[in-house]
This record gives sequence, C-alpha cells and structure tokens, in this order.
Amino acid sequence: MIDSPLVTAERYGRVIKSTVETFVAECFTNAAAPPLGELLVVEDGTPIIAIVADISTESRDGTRPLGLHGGPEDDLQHVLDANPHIPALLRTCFTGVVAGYWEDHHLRQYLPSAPPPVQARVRRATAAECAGLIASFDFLRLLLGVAPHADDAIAAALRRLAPPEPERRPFLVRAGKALTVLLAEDPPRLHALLRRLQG
Amino acid sequence: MTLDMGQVVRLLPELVERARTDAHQREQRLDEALRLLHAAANDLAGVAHVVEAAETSWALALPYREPFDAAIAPPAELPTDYTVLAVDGSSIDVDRNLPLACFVINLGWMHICYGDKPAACYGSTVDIQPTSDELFMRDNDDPSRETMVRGEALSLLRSVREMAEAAACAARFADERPLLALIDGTLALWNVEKRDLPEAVVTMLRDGPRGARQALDSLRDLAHDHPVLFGSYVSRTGATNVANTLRLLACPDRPHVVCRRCPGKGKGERPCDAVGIASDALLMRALLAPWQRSAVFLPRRPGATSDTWYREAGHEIGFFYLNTGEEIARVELPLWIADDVHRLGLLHGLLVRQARDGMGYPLALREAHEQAVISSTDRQAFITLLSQTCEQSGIPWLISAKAWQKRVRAI
Repeated sequence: MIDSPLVTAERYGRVIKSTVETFVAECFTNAAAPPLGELLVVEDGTPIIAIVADISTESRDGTRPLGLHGGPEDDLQHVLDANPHIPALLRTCFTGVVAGYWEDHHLRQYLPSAPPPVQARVRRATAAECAGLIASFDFLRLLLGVAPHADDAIAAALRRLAPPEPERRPFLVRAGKALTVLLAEDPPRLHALLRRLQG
Repeated sequence: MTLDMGQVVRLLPELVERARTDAHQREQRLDEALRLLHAAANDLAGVAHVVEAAETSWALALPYREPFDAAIAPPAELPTDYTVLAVDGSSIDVDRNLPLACFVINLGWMHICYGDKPAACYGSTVDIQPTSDELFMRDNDDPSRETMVRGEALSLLRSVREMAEAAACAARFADERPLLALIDGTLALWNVEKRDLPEAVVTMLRDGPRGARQALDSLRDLAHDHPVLFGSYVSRTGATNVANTLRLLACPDRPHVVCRRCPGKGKGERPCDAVGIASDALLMRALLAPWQRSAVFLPRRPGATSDTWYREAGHEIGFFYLNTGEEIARVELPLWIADDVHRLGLLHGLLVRQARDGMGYPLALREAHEQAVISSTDRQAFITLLSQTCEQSGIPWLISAKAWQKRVRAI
C-alpha cells in the first residue's frame, strides 16, 4: 500500500516521456533533482515505484545548445551571477527505471501493463514504501537490464535502502547474494558491483 | 533548378569588378564626408538652418545638443545592481487559405536582474484576432475605405503592441534599481504616410487603446518615479539621415537647398555625390571606436506630417548610433530620456554591457526574440488546431485550387 500523499516526501517533477521500463521526468526546480539511486513513486495513475538511474541538465530548447561563459579564472558562482539568464533557460531531468507497481495494495516487482502517464507527478518514496520493495530483490533484474548506469544506480539504491547498523551489513550481504545469482556469468561485473556496495 | 547558374556565373564577374573599382572612389567620398562632418561639428545652428530650409525627399538628421561629430565613450562607472527588460514580437499573417481569416501576434519578453540578487524570468503573450470586423480598420469619414490588418498594417500593429507590452512589463518590474527597457526595431511609426493607410488606422495605432501614445505616456510616468530607461534597438542599420544631411552641406546652393533645382540635373552628376556614402553606418564605423556612441540626432523629413505627432504628444524621438564592434546599431529614444544626461549615459553604458554579453547584440533582446519567434512547427500546429476547432464547430475548410496544387505538386 502506498502512503497517503499527506505524509509523502517532496515531489521532484513530472513525467515528460515514458515507456513500461523507464520514464523521464522534468524537475520542478533545477536545483532540486533526486540523487542517483533514489527511490521514487509516480503518482497519478497506477502507482509505480522506480529508481533514479540518470540525471541531466541541458538547454530547455534543443535547438540552442549552451555555450561557454566566463574565463578560466571565473568560478561557477561568478559566471552564474554575471549571466542570470542561464539558469532560467536550462532544465534538469531525471530517468527513473521501473522497479514495480502497486496493484490492490500489493507491490508487484515486475513491469506494469502500461507506462506511467505523461505529466504524472513523481515524488520520493517513503520509508514504508522502500521497506516494501526490499522484502524481495526481484527488482534488481529490472534494473540490470535497462538502466543507463545500471551498476552505479543499483549500488546507490541498495546503499540507500540498507537499514542502519546493525542490520546494514546483513542486508547488503543478502543483496550481494541476489546479485551473485543474476550476474553469475559475468564475474568481473559482479565483483565491481559488490565493491560499490561497500561504498 | 530553375535559376540558370550558367548565366549567373557569366554575370557575376562584372558585378564584382565594378564593386572593386568603386572601392577607391568610395574611400574618397567617405574621407570627404568625414571632413565635412568635422568642419560642421560645432556649427549646430548652421546645420539646423540648412536642414530646416531644405526642400528634399531625403530623410535628414539634426544634431540635438552634442557636436555633430561627437564620439562618446560609455560611462566608466555603472551600477552593479540593475535590471534589463526586452520585448520582441512576431506574427502569423492573415491567410485566405485558412478556414478563418485571422492573424496572430506573439509578444515575447525577458527580464534579467544583475547584481546582489541575480535572477531571470521570461514569457510570451498571444493575441489572436479572429473576427472579420476586427480584421478591418475603417476610416470613419469614408467607411468604404477600409484596411485589412495584414502585411504592412499588421507589422505596424505588432510594433505598437510591442511598445505597449514593454510599458506593461516595465510597470510590473520597475523598482529602485535602474531598469533598461528595450524593444527591437524602430521606435517611431516612420513613413506611415507612405504606406497609404487610412488616417483612422494611423490614429488608432497612435492614439487608440494599447497604442503608441498610451505606451509612451505610461513609460514617461514610470520614469518620473523610477530609474527607467527606454529605447529601441535597430541592428545593422541601413539609415542614411546623417549621410543625406552631409550632402546638403556639400550642396553649392546651401543654405537653401532645393533638390528639384539641382545644379547637376541633366548632367547625371550631383555636386553632393562628392560626399555621397551609402549609409550612416559606413560613416559611423569610421568615426566611432568600439562601444562609442554618436551624438543624439533628431530625424527630420521635410514635408512629413507624421513626425509632428510625436512632438505634440511630448514624445519627440531622437536617435544615436552605437558601434558594437560587430556592427553599427541605431538606438531610438524619446527626448525625455535624452534630455537627462545621467539617464542617457546609463542607457549607453547598460546597452554596451548587454551587447558585450550578447556577442554584439543585446542579450535580453536576443532572449526576448526566442520567446517571440513562431517556428514553422508552431505555425503548422496552429493551422492544425484552427482547422480541427473549426471542423468541430461545423465551419468547413475550403481551400483554393491553387493552394491545393501547391500541396500536392503532382505531375
């Protein structure tokens, strides 16, 4: 069951592009994008849980690329102060990889039958919603196949999902065992991912 | 390909060679024009006498208060806290091949704050006039004289709406910081009488709701209480006011020059051709160093009645040239800005900053343009929406046979 919006965390943005596996959302505020690995919930429609797999900032108008401003000695704040129009003409988007959806208050860790609706709101998942996800590690299979930066996104998500000590290490060990099964045929990738878990 | 490139290739060398051989003569004429400009630099009364007495079709320039050959650097000290507002417009003209005769005006604006609290915001306003009645402006004295708002009339209407939008936005954003408000193109409704518009139409553009007078009144009132600066910016000007005035000063018949009685008539050579240069921009490029401005000039067009309106309304328009390094721009401004030396300097200085930031063109104007522009995709979307809405309302779309053929282009 998803939490009531009244107790929900902040809303990050709206879906502007979607498939059953992934969606792209534009942030309400450029400076307030979700971090890599954050767990998200798509409201408005079938509630979907997802993980942030990519974040980008670019010119709002695809035909107008952002050029270089300032000299080598000018730090970022100086450049932004001298060019206040630049932040207004940029947008930040993030990619969410679908990790499951709720149906009749049960969390299904497989793809929904339809993509999240365009313009649906996206918010941070609550602690209770995150706890529901880690009851099983089936969602890892969805991320491994499709996420733009799958390994980093998975590692970041698992580090976020891990409960505080003393349960943290046992959780990460269980997650590592699930990954071992999924990446049995790619030992180098598995080892690299397990090292990321140690963060 | 229907343009015969073989013929083009044979004709081009002559054109280029003529331009090359003319170059030396152009240099000589420019030197002579500069000499005359410097000679008349401080004789403002003498220049005014020649200009006011002239009987000519040329547009002329009177130096307002500064020497004729002034080349003025921007102020060394400028405020760090200030804001810039720019407005630009574009339009979709009436198309008789659409289901409804209508025009669209899109006004874009950009507001940028510099200094302690840097910020920016932008937006656009759409105006669609759909009904036949509003598409026509009629002469009250002769109702059969009516002008459809399209083409040049629409272009004038758009210019006036830009001024009105600038006034409205300036009122919204004005505070204790200097506010530079800019619009693109010419500030004044020049040459209106040459466009053969009914007087009622011209009156509506000047004195009607959201007309030029209302906008200028509003800006002037705002400038009483706030440090507001206002002007229009013409990129890469092709004006010839100053160049034409130098021709009068070179005329052997001065101080009363009557072009119809030119001494060179019939010979094919005018005495003033010795100082004939193609544009004020050529003269100013030789006169002004980068970022310098010229004197403020008052435009004069002998016989034109439209200019007196601005004077009578208390909004006489002047202009100066600005060398941005990339080009010579013409900046038009009401004299109630030019009369205030401090505001004039501030206008100059902040324009220079904007042009530097915008690589030779005021950055805020560039961004306002981006908000105003109607792309081909937008146009197509508008046509699609219009036709769908009309169809849903039972209005058929009857397209002309010619327009249909242009779409199909079947052999």
